[in-house]
Amino acid sequence: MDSRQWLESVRENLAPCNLPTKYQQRLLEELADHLNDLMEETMSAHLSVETRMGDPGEVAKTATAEHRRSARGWLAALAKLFGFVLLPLPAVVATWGLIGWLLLMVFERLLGTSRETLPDWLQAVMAGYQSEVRFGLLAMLVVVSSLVTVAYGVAVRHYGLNWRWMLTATLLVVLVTAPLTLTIQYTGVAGQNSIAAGLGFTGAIAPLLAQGALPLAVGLWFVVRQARDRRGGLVRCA
Amino acid sequence: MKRNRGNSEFLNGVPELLILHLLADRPRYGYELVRAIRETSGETLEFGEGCVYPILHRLEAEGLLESSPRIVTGRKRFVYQVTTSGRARLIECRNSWSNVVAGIARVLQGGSHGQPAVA
Repeated sequence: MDSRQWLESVRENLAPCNLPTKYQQRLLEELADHLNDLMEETMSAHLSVETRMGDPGEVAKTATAEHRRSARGWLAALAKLFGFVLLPLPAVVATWGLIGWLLLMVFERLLGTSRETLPDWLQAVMAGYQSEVRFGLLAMLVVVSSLVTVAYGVAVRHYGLNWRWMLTATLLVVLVTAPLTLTIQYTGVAGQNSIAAGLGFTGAIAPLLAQGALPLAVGLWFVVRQARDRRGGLVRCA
Repeated sequence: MKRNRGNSEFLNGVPELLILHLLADRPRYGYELVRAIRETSGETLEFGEGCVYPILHRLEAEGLLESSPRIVTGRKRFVYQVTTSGRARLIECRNSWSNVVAGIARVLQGGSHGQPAVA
């Protein structure tokens, strides 16, 4: 086995171990450098790469074990607790707020007027299409929550974290999405001045399920995928 | 803060002791470090050199080492050096190692109360 084959074998052995991409890249980069040095030093000795560097499978197993060991520290636990337990609620609310604010800014800029002086014709149009606008905003809320869930899923996959962290973040996002009703006020005219987005929390289960279904489905997809891959990685890399 | 570390854990941490000790001497990149282990141990320690890097990365993640990319002999290398926490851990590791060695020596010599364990 030459140095290129050895490095390729390490790469193949690392692939199912569910380690962060950046971690793998750094390890492979340093191993490639080490091999270059080794080749320069032992060019005439014809030493087997495997004898000096170790079995590629063993290197992958050591990398997995050491990475999991470092991820068990209190600092790592605190970071995961903050990111996956405390952050989902403010993250979702802040994303909604940001997008709502951007929409209002675009709305005002396009009309070239302030919300307080919305022209009569536009008020009439808005009143006529209120239900469509309302569902449009509801879709926006659900999509934003789903995108936040996707971001968590990508983070869990990227850092090779336990699927339970993904489940926690998903349930928290769903918890804050399902009962939400957002009201946007666009004029000062009483009775025709606001749009409410959200099915409303009335205690009934159907509206809650309807509103939380998409982020829940997205989150559970990541949970299942991560659980399956991680279990496979643990078996192959332990 | 005193760390309560069992001997079995410590024995698993021999590479950690060697790495911290050699890097406390001066910063080194991976290949230099491996060569230093081989040379200073008189090539008595056999290990897969590829397994050193995951340990270095873990020690870095724990804040015991820090690395920086530098150009050494015309190539970019990750040069490792011991942090203040790393130096504190090194002292702990050395003390634990001394205790283990002393304990084993006492057993081999028969202890203070019993008969020699090894004839």
